[in-house]
Amino acid sequence: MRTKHLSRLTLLVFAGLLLVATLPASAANVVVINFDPPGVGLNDPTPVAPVGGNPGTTLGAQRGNVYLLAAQIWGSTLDSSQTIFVAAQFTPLPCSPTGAVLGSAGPTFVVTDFPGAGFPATWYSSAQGDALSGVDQVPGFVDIGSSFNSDIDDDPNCLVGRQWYYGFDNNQGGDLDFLTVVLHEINHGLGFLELVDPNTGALFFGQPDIYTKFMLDLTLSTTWDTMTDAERLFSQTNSGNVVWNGSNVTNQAPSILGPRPSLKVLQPKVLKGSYEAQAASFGQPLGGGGGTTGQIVLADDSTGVGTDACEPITNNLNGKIALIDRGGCAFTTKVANAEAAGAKGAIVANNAPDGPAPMGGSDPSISIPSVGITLDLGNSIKAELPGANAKLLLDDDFLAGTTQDFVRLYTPAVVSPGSSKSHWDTSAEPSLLMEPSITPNLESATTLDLSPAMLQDIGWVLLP
Amino acid sequence: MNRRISLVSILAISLTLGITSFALATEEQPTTEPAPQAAPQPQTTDGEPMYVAGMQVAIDETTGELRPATAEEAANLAQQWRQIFVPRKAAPRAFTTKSGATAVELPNDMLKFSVVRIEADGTLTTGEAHGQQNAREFIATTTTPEEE
Repeated sequence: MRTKHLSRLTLLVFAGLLLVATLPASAANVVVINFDPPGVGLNDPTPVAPVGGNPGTTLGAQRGNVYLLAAQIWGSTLDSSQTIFVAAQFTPLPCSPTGAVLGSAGPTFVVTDFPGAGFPATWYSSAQGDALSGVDQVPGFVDIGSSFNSDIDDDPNCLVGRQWYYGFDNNQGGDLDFLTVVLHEINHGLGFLELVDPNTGALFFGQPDIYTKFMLDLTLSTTWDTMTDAERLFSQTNSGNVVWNGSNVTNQAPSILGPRPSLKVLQPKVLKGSYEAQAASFGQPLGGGGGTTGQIVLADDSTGVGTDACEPITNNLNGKIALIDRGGCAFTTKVANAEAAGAKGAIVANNAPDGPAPMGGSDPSISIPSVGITLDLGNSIKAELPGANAKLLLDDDFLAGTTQDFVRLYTPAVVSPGSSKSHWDTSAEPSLLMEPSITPNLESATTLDLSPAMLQDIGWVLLP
Repeated sequence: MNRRISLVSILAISLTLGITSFALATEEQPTTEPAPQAAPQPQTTDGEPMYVAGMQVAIDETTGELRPATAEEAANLAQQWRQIFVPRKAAPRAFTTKSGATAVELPNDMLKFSVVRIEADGTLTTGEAHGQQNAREFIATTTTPEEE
């Protein structure tokens, strides 16, 4: 009676078009199935010029080529005797001039208690279940579903001025790198996700998925698969303290992640130490070693909240490091005002207890380094003024995006459905493929960075 | 019926990349009901372009075996795939596979939705959302990360 439930999943192939990556014999065969009808989406005949190494001369061909390259990259990473079927489609999805759904993806099925499963009573993605058992566990069904927004290219009122970039060379400029998005979404489909209900903390169908077995809460000293529902609800916002407890990721992290952006307090003695900070996305990059050292002085603009530095600063900051409170204006405005007052660096203290101030923005006129710090640290430093000296630097003693040498998972203080838990934390430097956002400093998605190690932790076999 | 068949007809072009060889269909297929055939399996052959076309496969209601999908089934499936943003009303259910494992089809609202919005300064903020409602909320949000 299964056909009564015909859905996107009940079909192995109907669109009649397969894109098949040709790989070494031991590589997983990742087959992309084109679900688009003629003339649209992956079959769009609109002529285009080859771009960034993508030789396609129609829009549809370029889209398909990117899918295929993503399939080749994943296929040459994983060892599986079973074909991994990825359903692919370009279709109009919700969009406005300033926002869009890029696409959606995920495993079509999860399976448990199959021969070869690493753990009993544990959900695995369909693709992994097939790989571990050597049998197609749900024959006749695709393993991973994916759908991307064609209106980004086709509708001039969708995400105005931005388009998909179909090159292979990470040269997307202000556009959206389709290869990165596809690699990311296929990774979710392979098993980089957990299935816990974010509203109740309940496990999916009453049993853990393989991902939760590696989600360690350092505060509770336990993994998500053994927590109560209430503990999982607590843990999903335990920012900075939920980490990946898999040896392959932990061992590989030092070769992937860089030194941690930090504020090293040199004086007073009571605060002496290295504190994690958020490097600004503008201004002079933080340096290692010597960094930028100076006396900390609280900024004062003598207007409204005098310490927010939203107006020209009136006290002397010449050669000092300005301490500024978050709030009231852009981070770039604050730091620009500090620089204009002679500061050699700036620290912005958060105004809420949710980690360091994020320090986003862009202003090429700013030339000093700056960092965001937590509300607590900001208050502690203020209590010691005058008499505080500190250094802004990349601290080689710590890896960015880690806690106690474990790589962090993204668990912000406020749950971000869809982003929380099933991604690496955004404090990782350089940025990683499986962070919740595509960031400008994602150097190259095609290396997959920590993703293969993560998949190895949950039981996938990697090719040498 | 024949028009529906055309939904699954295909186009083919052949391309060869330095690292990947593949082929896409370019010719429209006959607009007739496909003859029953065993489900073709994708294969790779020493770097030669790979082309598999005309696959329309469903699971037979009676036998549980794969069989070519009818045109009506193919059209229904295409439509349902396009309605991915319509949450499935029925709760997911577990079933036993032929190999004795237990499987569950993940509902649409458990899919990851990749989203983006353009901030006031022109920068892009990307993210992921849980289900369509959350996705719509993300793209409607107008906060900018660099502002207080």
